[in-house]
Amino acid sequence: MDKDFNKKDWSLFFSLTKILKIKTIIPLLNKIQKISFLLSIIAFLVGGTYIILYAPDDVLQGSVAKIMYIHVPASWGALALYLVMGVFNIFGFIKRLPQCFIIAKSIAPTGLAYCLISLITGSLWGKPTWGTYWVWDARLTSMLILCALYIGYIISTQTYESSKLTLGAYISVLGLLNIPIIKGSVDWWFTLHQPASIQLLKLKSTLDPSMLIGLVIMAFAFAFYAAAMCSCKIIHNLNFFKSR
Amino acid sequence: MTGGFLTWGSILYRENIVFFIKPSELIAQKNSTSQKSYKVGGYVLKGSIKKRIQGTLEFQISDHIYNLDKNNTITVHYNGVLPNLFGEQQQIVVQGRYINHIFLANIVLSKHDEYYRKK
Repeated sequence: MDKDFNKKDWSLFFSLTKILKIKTIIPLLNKIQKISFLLSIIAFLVGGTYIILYAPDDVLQGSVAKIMYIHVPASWGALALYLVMGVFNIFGFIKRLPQCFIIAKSIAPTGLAYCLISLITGSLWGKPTWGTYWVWDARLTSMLILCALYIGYIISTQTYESSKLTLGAYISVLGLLNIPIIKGSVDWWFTLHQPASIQLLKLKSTLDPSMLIGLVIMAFAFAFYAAAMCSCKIIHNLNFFKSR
Repeated sequence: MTGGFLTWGSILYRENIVFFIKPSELIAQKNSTSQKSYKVGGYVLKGSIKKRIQGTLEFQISDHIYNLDKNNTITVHYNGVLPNLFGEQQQIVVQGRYINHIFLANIVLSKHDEYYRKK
């Protein structure tokens, strides 16, 4: 291990720069990938069994409300991955480290997949409950914009050239503006989409506790799966980047 | 690029940022024409749902779930498929024209709140 790495770093950025060395990060990611993939399988099995066999139906919507267990974690994942992607791109601009852009680029496909899952399951949920597959309200529109940002970012960062990666990074950082809009859309304006049922900051939930358990397990499953997929992609991309 | 992004965003948002208006806001509009299509959201009043001839449904929607004020309530006529969640004291959004103090809806959407309860 590096000598400096063991020293007490007062700066988080400094230690992050050390961790972000390609030699250090690949073995670390290998471990993260294996552990989180295993954990995600366990969480999917436990969560799936719980949802199908034990989770109660909603009093108004019946069993249709169970789409929530996929829709909500996927939406959280799409937002969280976009944030992480943006943070890595900002860090890449500050520290001028190309591997930061590569890491950000590797996160995008999983984020897009989650965003699409969120839009599709939301649409399927909307038909029986609201009476429509799609409306142009603030929440749905801002989520579609997130999807477009992901696609735009993926298209613009297809190669490993620094000019392409930087262009993509601009898109991703500017697109960060959309994240608080998505979060606030249901509170700031009248939307067809209902306000958030779970407020992490206030530790408040308007879900029945027996539904909350299922949702938390599924959220962990989606998070671990995203960690596994992203680390797999980062390892692949970094190895390719190194071998050029 | 920033400009492009913001313009794109504003075009998408301008028309739809407010998805619906309240019944009181519709009534308060002085220059409302029968040509324009409105989206109005409110609560279906208890005991207001009636069947009329040829399958047309009549009900009243209001700003509040328990309403005492006539200026907050509009009468809606609708003939079509209703969403599953439609019912008394449920939040709905209706789209259509407002003619002679009657709202002729061509679309009825139901709105769910953030509460989920055990059956």
